[in-house]
Amino acid sequence: MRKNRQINLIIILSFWLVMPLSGIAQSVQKWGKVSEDDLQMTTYAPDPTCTAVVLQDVGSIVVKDLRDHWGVNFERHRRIKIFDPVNFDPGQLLIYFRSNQNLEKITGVDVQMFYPDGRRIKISEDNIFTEAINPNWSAKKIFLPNLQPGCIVEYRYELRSEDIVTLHDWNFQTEIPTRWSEVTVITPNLLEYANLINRPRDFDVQEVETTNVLASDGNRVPAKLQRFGFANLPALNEEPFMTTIEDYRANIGFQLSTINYTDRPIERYMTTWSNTAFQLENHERLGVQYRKHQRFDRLWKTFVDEVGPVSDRKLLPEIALRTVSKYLKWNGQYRIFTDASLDDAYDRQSGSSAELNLAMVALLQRAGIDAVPVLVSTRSHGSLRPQYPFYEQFNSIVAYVRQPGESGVLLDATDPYQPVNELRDEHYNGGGWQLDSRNPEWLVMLPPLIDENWLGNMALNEDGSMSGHFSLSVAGPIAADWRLELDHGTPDQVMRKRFGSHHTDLRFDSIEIEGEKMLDQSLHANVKCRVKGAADRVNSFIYCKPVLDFFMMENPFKTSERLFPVNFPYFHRANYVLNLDLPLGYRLEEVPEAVKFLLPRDGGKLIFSVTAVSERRVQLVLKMELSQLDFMPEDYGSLRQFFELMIDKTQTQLVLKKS
Amino acid sequence: MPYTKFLTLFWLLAITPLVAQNTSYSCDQIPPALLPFAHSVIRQSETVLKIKNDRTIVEEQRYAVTILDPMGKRESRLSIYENEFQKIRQLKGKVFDAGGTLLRESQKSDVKSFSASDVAEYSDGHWEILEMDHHSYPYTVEFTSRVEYDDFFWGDSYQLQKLGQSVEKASIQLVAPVGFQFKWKALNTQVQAFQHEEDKKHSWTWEFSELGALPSEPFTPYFNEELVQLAIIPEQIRMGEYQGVASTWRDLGRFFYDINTNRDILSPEMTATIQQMTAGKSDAEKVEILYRYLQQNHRYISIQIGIGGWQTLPAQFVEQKKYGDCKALSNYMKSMLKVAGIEAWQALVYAGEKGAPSLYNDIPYPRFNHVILYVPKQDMWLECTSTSNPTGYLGSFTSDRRVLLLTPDGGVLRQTPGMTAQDNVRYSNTDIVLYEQGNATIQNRVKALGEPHDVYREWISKKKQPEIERDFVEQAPFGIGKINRLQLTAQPKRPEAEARYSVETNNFATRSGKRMFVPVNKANPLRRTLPDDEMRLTRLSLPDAFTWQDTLHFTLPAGFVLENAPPAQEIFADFGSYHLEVQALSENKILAIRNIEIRPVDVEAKRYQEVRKFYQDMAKADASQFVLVKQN
Repeated sequence: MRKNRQINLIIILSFWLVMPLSGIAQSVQKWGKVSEDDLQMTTYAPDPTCTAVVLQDVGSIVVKDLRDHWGVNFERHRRIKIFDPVNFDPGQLLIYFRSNQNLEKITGVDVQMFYPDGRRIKISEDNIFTEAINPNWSAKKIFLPNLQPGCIVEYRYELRSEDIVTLHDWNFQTEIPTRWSEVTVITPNLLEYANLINRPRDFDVQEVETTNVLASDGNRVPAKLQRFGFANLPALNEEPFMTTIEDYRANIGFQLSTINYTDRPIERYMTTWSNTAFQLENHERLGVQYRKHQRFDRLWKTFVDEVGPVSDRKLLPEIALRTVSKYLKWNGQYRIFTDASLDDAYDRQSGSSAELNLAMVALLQRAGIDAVPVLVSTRSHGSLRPQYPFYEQFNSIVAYVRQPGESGVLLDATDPYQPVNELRDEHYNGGGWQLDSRNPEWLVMLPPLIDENWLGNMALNEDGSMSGHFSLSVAGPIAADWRLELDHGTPDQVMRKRFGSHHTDLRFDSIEIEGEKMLDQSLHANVKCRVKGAADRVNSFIYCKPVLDFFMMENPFKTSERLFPVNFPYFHRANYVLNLDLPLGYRLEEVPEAVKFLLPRDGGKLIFSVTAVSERRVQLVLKMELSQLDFMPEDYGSLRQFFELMIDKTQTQLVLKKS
Repeated sequence: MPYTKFLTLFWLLAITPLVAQNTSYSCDQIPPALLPFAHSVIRQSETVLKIKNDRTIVEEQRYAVTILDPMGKRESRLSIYENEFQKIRQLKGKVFDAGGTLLRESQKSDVKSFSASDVAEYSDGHWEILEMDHHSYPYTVEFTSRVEYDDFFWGDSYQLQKLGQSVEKASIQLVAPVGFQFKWKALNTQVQAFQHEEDKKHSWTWEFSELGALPSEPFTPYFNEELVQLAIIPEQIRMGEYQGVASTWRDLGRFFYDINTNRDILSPEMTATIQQMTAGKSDAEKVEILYRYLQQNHRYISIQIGIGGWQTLPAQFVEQKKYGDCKALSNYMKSMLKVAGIEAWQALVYAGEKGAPSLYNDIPYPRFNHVILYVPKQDMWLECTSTSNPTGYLGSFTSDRRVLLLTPDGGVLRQTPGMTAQDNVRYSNTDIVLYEQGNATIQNRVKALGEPHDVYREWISKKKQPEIERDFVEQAPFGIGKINRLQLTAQPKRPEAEARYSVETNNFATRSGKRMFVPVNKANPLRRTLPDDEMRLTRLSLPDAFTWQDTLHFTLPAGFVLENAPPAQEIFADFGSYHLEVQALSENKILAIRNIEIRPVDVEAKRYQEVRKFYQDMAKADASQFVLVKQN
């Protein structure tokens, strides 16, 4: 009997506990107890050049029953060893909290410092400042006096919030290396949460236990305790061409999914996408805005005026886009909810992405067109989590017109220079979710293609100058940039910036721009130009560089290795064709070899060739195509090679000899 | 009845001005002469500075600006700083359309607060910002504001216009009790003050009208000294409980000296330590020892509270906390030197790589943002926020400009030492071994003196080797496949640094068929150009001065011979010189020598193209290449 009970105990214990991997179980050191080893540490072996290392970062999130409402208590104890006080980033000692409407309150900030010689100093309150950063956020700033190399600083604080739907999230990783980071979450069984995990590898500690917590009526209620931890996480640093470093940061968030009532049916908070859609369709600052006509009567009147006599309904989406971009300016904010009503935004003449794009949905729906909002998470905001039906993962909205049997049309009024079916780059992050409670489907949104074409007919003169015509045509998002610049400056200024910027002695004799106002069509520029110094004459040779402009003239990928995937926001195609008449008496001494380079798995291609069309005319062709957006670190080498080769070809020189 | 009619008419007339005033914002009314180069036009601007008494000043401002195009967009936002001494009593805005019709007025909730400090800083001041936007151009924004200054006033400078902005009508008025004394100076204008006395108050009014716009052009003297400005500084100034006189630089210096005096008491322990460190040493040695001590044990952190923007924290603060801002660290250094028996003075300076605004002899209008220290007996300047500068070295941050020394006898203007092209030298000795595919091994030894050495010193003090290597790869003008060696060293006592590196690069020369094109200066390109502008209107200012002397040895790959070497290049001008020669030393060795001297440029607009041509000629020469051909 006794033996069985012992076995049962073991089984029960091991059922609830996942043993941490041996050797990694850092016993978390209590406040004030610093090990001698840590004090004497002069370098952190996994990253010997760091300015500081987080020795331990321990958080606890407890959802508490506070009588008439729920609250969340977040406690944190963080300890950092500082090797280099001068270059240590003071941002590591900033505690941000939401101060608007007192959503979050910080209490009890304690800070102390330990010196290698064993002294312990409590940091007094006159070294801690509270500052309002902007209307929504404030921060506690800790300034450490008498900081020496080898010092250890630890601080702890409590943060209270009433948001039990989205709990305070926890970043395991930061911009300096972290030796140990863990968070414990205690939630009463009444409230069930989905764990939103972003991790580079398996947790070093992942535990679940049953426990209980004190309820407001004095009784104890069952609760769940979860613990997650990582050891030895490296410092995170951004690399060029990424969506956002946040996609790669080890992090955990908690989203309310179910309320497990004992005396009535359970309430699914995170229910289904259908229910979430229904919720949002009936939300005063989302669905109600486009479903209730009084919210946008004034905007509607203006739209009706803009439509005028036009009767072709197929033109309405474009007119809606034009109307909203004309009367409302984007204020730079990404939102899913409006501030007030759509008409208020119309009166103010500015709005967030929610206001601008819901305005289009409102107008089109009222006009009888099947338009819905599509909720997205911008590139900087991070990836979507389609498996968890909660709307807090979105931070922006675009509009979508559905057409049965055809592919629909996307609309984004935040950039007045973009046509129908083109969004700003931040909105292209894989896709979005259509807000329609009867049909809440995900929509794959592939970014458009940037297409640049240069066609030149030039003559090379004996003095080394090149003169003639070039026609440029650009389509896709890059055309929006051109149009923006043409609005801000003269055609000469824009051409100077966008064509041949590597040649300082480039003169434009005439510039004709076509299609500037036709947003859905490509933009053309026809220029007559002269480039002095396009070629060097040395003895009986002329060395000429015929590529005046291309997609890129300098390699952006300089490092030999890369940790994170490369992500381009757009597909890209660039074609450069130059027909060059040679000066009298000169011939092409040697035809450069043709080149064809393919990226693995059809990721892209590069083509280069020079042909002698006749005795005095040469044609150079340089074509580049990037047909893939994501490149894994393993493919970085070939990607880098691709760019190197492309830049090399932009520097091609033609060798002419006097015959 | 005629009498009633007259009354009605009278009331109508009394009301209409409000309406008439708005329609005057119609964009049709802008005089055509004010449109060229303008992205915005100040339609009318009224600033009234009321000196209520010796403690309180109220500044009221109402101005209307028409924004013509997106480049003038920033005019739609007004930011006003607020702190313990200056409180914003009113901040409102209105938007009018192109025809001058009022579209909307701001609400209190439209004014938003933002922090004024950076991560490593704390200040008890912040910004209040109001933005009035509109969707189509042109449109007009009118701002009305009132700021009250209590216990704080030393003067103000009004910039009547910005680059790319013209002014239709503007006025500045100062109203003060009779007997109020002050000095004023106007730049780039002949305006005189119109005076009027009434009710025991004296007013001075300066009026401006029809100021054409000056375009925003690159490399203008940084402080827009060609625009119309008005500086006002009262004779009596105050900050908190401190009062002073500001009629001359001497007096103003005395005021700042008084605010910052007697804050140099160190603890007995610290005093003893300093005496110990400096016992038996010469004055020069004492400065060196104490400066090094400051550099090695203290950090820069900026905390500004109250008049803390102007008054240093006491020396004991820095002693205990081991950090401080530029004032506190300078004051601390001064306190340590005092213990060692050496006198030093704080110097107020405008710091920045681009230079400093002028200080005028006839009006002590202060334009400073930093404090350094001057040791008169040694004629030495100390940058107390730098943890790695050699003792006495300022660097381009504060060199070659007038500063205000705070001496016990009052303020004295003095010029900090400048560095010429002869002081700022970079020597390099480069060996480039070329291979058949166009790749190369580059070995370079660079010695930098003066300003060119600043960046090496900064890297060494702030970065560790892996970060140095990573940044080196990212900033190199050629692609690096592998770093064999990279070593940076900086001399502790001289502004001198050295970089030695050996790298493998993939694309140094380009191959085409049987030829190889080798760019002579790819390892150290000059890269200095000016955009084309035949109609430049503003002065051109390029303050740097430096000399480069480069020797390059190329080893050709087997099987290649020299087909063509570039001719020697010589360029001479007032602005500098360029010399390049390339010669074959043997069948497979080529030597290139390049000498460049760049002198500071400060010329009127009409010489712009001349300067541009000089840089273009140099860029062309710098792009020289020699061509190799493969022999079968």
